[in-house]
Amino acid sequence: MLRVALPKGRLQRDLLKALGPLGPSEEDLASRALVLPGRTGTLSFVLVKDPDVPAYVEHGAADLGVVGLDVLREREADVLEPLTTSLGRCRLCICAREETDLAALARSGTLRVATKYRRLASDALMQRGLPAELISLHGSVELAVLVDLADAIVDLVETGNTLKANGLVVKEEIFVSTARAIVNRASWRLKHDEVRAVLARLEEPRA
Amino acid sequence: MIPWPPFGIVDRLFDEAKLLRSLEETILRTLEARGYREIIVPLLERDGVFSSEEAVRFVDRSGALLGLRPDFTGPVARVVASRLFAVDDVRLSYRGTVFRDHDERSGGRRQVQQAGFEHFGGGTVEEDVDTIRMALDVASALGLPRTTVSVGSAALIEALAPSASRDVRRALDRRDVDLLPPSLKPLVELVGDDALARARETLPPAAQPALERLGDLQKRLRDLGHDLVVDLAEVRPWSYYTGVVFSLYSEGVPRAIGAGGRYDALVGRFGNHRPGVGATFDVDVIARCAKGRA
Repeated sequence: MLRVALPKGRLQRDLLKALGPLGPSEEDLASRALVLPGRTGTLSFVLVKDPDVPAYVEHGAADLGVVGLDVLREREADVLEPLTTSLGRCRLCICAREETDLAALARSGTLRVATKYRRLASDALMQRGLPAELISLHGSVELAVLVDLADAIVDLVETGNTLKANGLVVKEEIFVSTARAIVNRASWRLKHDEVRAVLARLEEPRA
Repeated sequence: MIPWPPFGIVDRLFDEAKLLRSLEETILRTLEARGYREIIVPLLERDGVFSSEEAVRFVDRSGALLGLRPDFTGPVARVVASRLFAVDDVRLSYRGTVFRDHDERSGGRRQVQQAGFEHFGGGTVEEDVDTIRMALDVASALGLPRTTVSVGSAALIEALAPSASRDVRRALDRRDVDLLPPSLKPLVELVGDDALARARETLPPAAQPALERLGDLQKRLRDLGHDLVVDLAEVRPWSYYTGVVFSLYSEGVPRAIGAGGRYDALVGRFGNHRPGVGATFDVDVIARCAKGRA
């Protein structure tokens, strides 16, 4: 029996569709319980927030989980990541107002960048020669530019609608993120065939 | 202000200290019964002894670059190269603390309690077999009878991707297929009972000698009643391994309880050439699950 860590966020619906009959029932999902049995009895599920998925898997509280590449890189957990799915596609970008010249700002003073992804933002800005003061926020990062808390943001862009609505544009794309299946190191060896069976479902989301 | 230890560095008090020491004792006693005698090696060495980029390094008063040991194999190999090279068959054990400057494999720990053993002989497959059996016997003595050995081969990886960079080895260790060169990508799928058979059919001729040696090892261990999990993506972050590499997983424990492998070129770096093979246990991980059982 495998335990799977499912993120509560935007990925969940796609994942449940891919898992098909292995997933939890509608009633269980609606029940607000955090540990759910799968319908076929071969899996059980824990519902956790996206950024917590790597910790559950690393420490063996779940055998495997699914999480966006953005979260995985930000967290740097010691897990295996054998499958890149096509689910939850989005881009991590540096965004600012159209007229903002980031390089000029960085030369003339200290660039202020707001983000939920401190580690990734710091790496990306450094690689581009843009030293910056990072401001950690937990939501609505776009707002930081509107109220002049920051000159730019590093955030996920899915459709670009939120950016447009707030008068921002993508200045640089850092990487494209899709969901990855991650697996506990011990489970990969001790329950390999069971793990493979779940990965196979996630690999073919339309099947 | 209270000077707490730096991140990832910990104190061990009373019951925990006692538990760690008693586990170390069990490991060393089991090893000693089979001819592995304890040596004590320095915590501090010249920088060149360590293969890992993760060693904590600093400069002493004379300007020499020194490091805290990030593992035992380097210092042990130096001792063998300089002081035990004339002895035919060297079996030794050790225990102590190693330090790593940010090792994500150890879960943010920068200090790890280890105990292990090394065998310097003739480089034979029999020694590989003995080493893995010895490691399983130690696990058993520790009360971890349901331990599985996951084996791969550093020689296989060298044959498929000569002088692979640390980034590539790291990507393989994480099974991050997207970052792997084409020659290594198939390894991620080669896990399980039929992995060796599939590998023989699908991997290029350069890979065959390493596969043959692994097959020989698997057969010998099977004849002795030990089953292996073949996982051909098994890789160590350290670059000195040249033959079999393995890690040990016990039921219900989320991390490897130990790991090891063959390194036939390491001793030669310090002088006299000597093949070696060994394994090291992560006493902290074992202590955590021993506490769970108590």
